[in-house]
This record gives sequence, C-alpha cells and structure tokens, in this order.
Amino acid sequence: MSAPAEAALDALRKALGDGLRSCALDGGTLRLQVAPDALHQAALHLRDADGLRFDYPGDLFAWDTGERFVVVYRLWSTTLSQTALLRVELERDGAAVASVTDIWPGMNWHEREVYDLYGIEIVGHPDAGDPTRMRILLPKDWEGFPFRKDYVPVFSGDPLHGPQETN
Amino acid sequence: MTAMQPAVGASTSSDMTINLGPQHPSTHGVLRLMVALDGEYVKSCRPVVGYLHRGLERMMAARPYRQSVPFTDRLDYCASLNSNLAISQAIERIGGMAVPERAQYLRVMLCEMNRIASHLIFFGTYAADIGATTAFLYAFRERERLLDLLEAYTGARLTCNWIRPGGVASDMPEGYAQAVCAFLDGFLKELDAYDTLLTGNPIFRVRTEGVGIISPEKAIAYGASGPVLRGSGVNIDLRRTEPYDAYPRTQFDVPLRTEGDCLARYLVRVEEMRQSARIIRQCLREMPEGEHWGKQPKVFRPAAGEAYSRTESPRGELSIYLVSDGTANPVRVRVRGPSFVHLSMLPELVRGVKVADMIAILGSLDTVLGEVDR
Repeated sequence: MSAPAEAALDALRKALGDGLRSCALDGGTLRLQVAPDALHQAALHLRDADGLRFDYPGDLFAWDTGERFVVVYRLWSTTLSQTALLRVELERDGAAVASVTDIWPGMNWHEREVYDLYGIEIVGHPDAGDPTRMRILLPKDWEGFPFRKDYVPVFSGDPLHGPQETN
Repeated sequence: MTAMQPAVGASTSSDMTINLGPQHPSTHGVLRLMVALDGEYVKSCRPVVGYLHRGLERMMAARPYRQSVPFTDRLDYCASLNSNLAISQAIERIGGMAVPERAQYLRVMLCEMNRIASHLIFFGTYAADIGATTAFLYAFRERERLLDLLEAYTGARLTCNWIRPGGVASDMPEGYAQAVCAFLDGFLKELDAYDTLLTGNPIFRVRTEGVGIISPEKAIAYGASGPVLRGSGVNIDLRRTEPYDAYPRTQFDVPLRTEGDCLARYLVRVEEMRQSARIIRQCLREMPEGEHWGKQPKVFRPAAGEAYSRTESPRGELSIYLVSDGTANPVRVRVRGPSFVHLSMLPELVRGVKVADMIAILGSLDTVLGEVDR
C-alpha cells in the first residue's frame, strides 16, 4: 500500500478512534470494520482521502448470521484500481445504518434492497421513513423481511390476484 | 430541447402521470415506469421493479454451492453463460478449485459467443425502440444462427447451464471449431452490413446523438459499468483491469467512446461484437489439449469465509459474493448485476427530456429485468 494510503488510514484511525474496529490489508484488498455510528464518516473518508479514492460504489448488501446482521460495502477506486470491503455489524433489534446515497448515488437502490429484504433502517435515505417507497423488489404492502433467518412466510392473500400493486 | 421546456419541479395545470408498462414493448420485460409529464416533457420518472422477483439469491443459499449454477441462467437470460461463469468463479475461489487451461479457453469462447448474442438482441431491439423495425429482423436472424451453435454444444439456446465450478460440462463436439469459424466469417460481413443499415441512418442518429448524456463522473458515482461506462469515456473493462480465465492471454481492444450519449453506448456495443469475434478465433486457435474439468471434491464444504468474483458480462460488472460458515450450503449468495445499477440511473437521466427520448435512453442502457429483479 502506498505512502499516501498509509497516511490516510492513520488519519482515519485518529478520526474514528474506537469507531474503527479493525483495518487490515489482505491480498490487495483493504478490509475495514467500523462501528455503525462511524459508518458515514468512514465512507466519506474512503472516497475523498488521497491514496484511497474509493470513488466507485461496487456493491452494498447484507446477510443475517442468525445473531446479527452484517452489512458490507464493496468499494473500488477507478484511479488506483484497489478494492475496499467496509463492514458494519448490527444488532438485530432496531437495526439501522446511515445512508451513503449522498456519497455514492449508485448506492440508492442497494440500500432500498437492504431495507426490503432485511428490514434494516437506512437513516437519511431519500425515501427513508416511507416503507411503501423503500420497498423495491417486494410489493409495497409486503409484511416482514424474507431474507432474515427467522422469516416465516405467511400467505393471506387472494391466490388468484396475489398481492396488491407493487410500489 | 427548446425554450418551451418548463422548469423541472414546477407544477403546472397540464401535469399528467402515466404508467409505462409493466407490459409495454419498449420496457423489454416487466418493468413499469411511473412518469409525470408536462406535455411532451418528463418531469419525473420512478421505475417500479420487482415483477420478476423470484428470490433467486435466497434459493441459491438454500442448497449446496454447486447446485446454484442453473439458477444463474435465469438472472440475465440473454447471456446465461456469463452468469454461469460468475457463480462458478465465486465457488472456485471460496473452495480453492483450479480450472484446467483448456476449460479456461472454452469458457472465454462461450462467454464471448453469448456476448455477441446478447449485443445482437440489443442491436435489434434498440433499433425497434427507435422505429427501425428492419434491423430487428436482421439481428435476430444472425442471433438465431449463433443460438443454434450454442444449442449444438450445450443443448440449450438460452439457459445453457454449461460453465460449472471447475470447468465446463463437456468438451466441444467434433467439428465445432470449424462451425464456429464459418459462422464468424459470415457474421462479420453481416455486421458491416448492419452498420451501414443503421449506424449511418440519419433518423437513427438524430434520435441518439446528444441524447441521454452521462458524464464520466456521474457514471462512476453511480457505479455504471460495461458499455454504459465505456460510452462515457471511462476505460474500465474487467476483462482487462481484473483479468480472469484465458483473457490475460488473449488480445483484444476495449472500444471506448467519449461522447456519453445513446449513440456512444450503441457504438461501443457494435464494436465489442467485432472484438468478441476476434477473441473467439484466438481461443479456437490457441486452445491447448487437455481436460475440460478439474478434479472435483465429492462433498463440497468450503471453510468459513467469504469470496467473490467480478466478471464483465455483456451489460457490465456482474459480481457474485459468497459467504460460507463451513457447512454445505452458503449463508449468503449476493448477485450484483449491472442492469439493476443502470436502471437506478434512469430517473436522473430522463428528467426534462421528451417522452420519446426517454425510450431511447432506457433502450441504450440495455437492462434485462431478470437480473434486476433476481
């Protein structure tokens, strides 16, 4: 990793303190884990700091370990050709994470999908607070979050007409 | 655009909201666009997706790793082999499987054949969107020949399910290389003819030139990939920047346009077909003898961990992320498809344009709803 990158990561360590849970370079990929409330600051730093420049929103998704949710932001730098995996772990109860749509507009729909499938609140998302607008793949009146491990499908609709219109 | 165009966001008495789709020929699948119009101008557009949502990611996570390959055929159904490759690579990485060299060439050959077939669909349907029906018929004639070739090898025209973790399902049938070469000879001539039919057509150019311009900064900030990114002058092709399989050993040019408009994206795809033909010929020429499939473990239980693949599908970056907890089934299979990302750019691209231009812009993104909805 280049000298500006080392300096940028040191600056990030200082800025976040305990908020930066881990930071390691693994085969050319930068792996970071941050506390949920430090996410937005870390994301902004990753995009703008010299030597990091993660300007490309590669992917954003979540999974359910059974105990907690893991949200991963896969970022890429088009100028430096390097990858970062930024990771946040959330408790199941009241899981919420800050939106990064203002940093990378391409994360907008990915965040809606994370809400849609896992019920993780995306704080500050343009459609936040309105479940009918946040739902993206499922119909807007869907109940529950089907990618959670404890999801039990309930079908209570009319089998001929199915759920009402999608959002 | 003229001075008549109203200010975006201003509400006037002539506002009207219409639905395009979910059953509309220009949406290429079950996509619905809720469009607020002021006369001919689009004030806002909200794509509604999910009509084809089957929960494929969850279905793939509910069974052993290697059984998820056929599901990927149903992601981007215009380029199933490219999706097969993405999942196979992710599984190989998480399980540490090697791919024999011959299989690497066979994979690249198949993927490039599928890329041509997929771009031919784009070529034909895009022309039809804009009103040039003839080009559609020509493109599908050529595509049909290619699909016959895919069927001769894999047994299926569209859902090939042929690239598997560790290699490909079988070696080429006898005489296949000659058949592919014969097709390419004819195809390249046809492609030149299509070029004169459509690319130079003044009506086509008026409809696409300067329409739907995406700046390189915007393309990157949205995570655009493939021909959409390269049409905006950003020289990123994962076959080059993060090469895989036999791509590091093949020579090809990455078509690049700097205009960022619909025509640029179209031209990138047309040129990519020529480059794909070049890659296929190299594969057939340089393919070594050997196994088509590496040694496979009977029970596949990768150690707990994560792995992902990034591949260049015809539409852009198709990447699959796998999470393992050490059991036979994955914890999470995540599919990041280019169409999903490109469609999310649409509201911004069409704000303030005419309805007809919106159709041209949507077509130029070349989205496939199977991959958007998963």
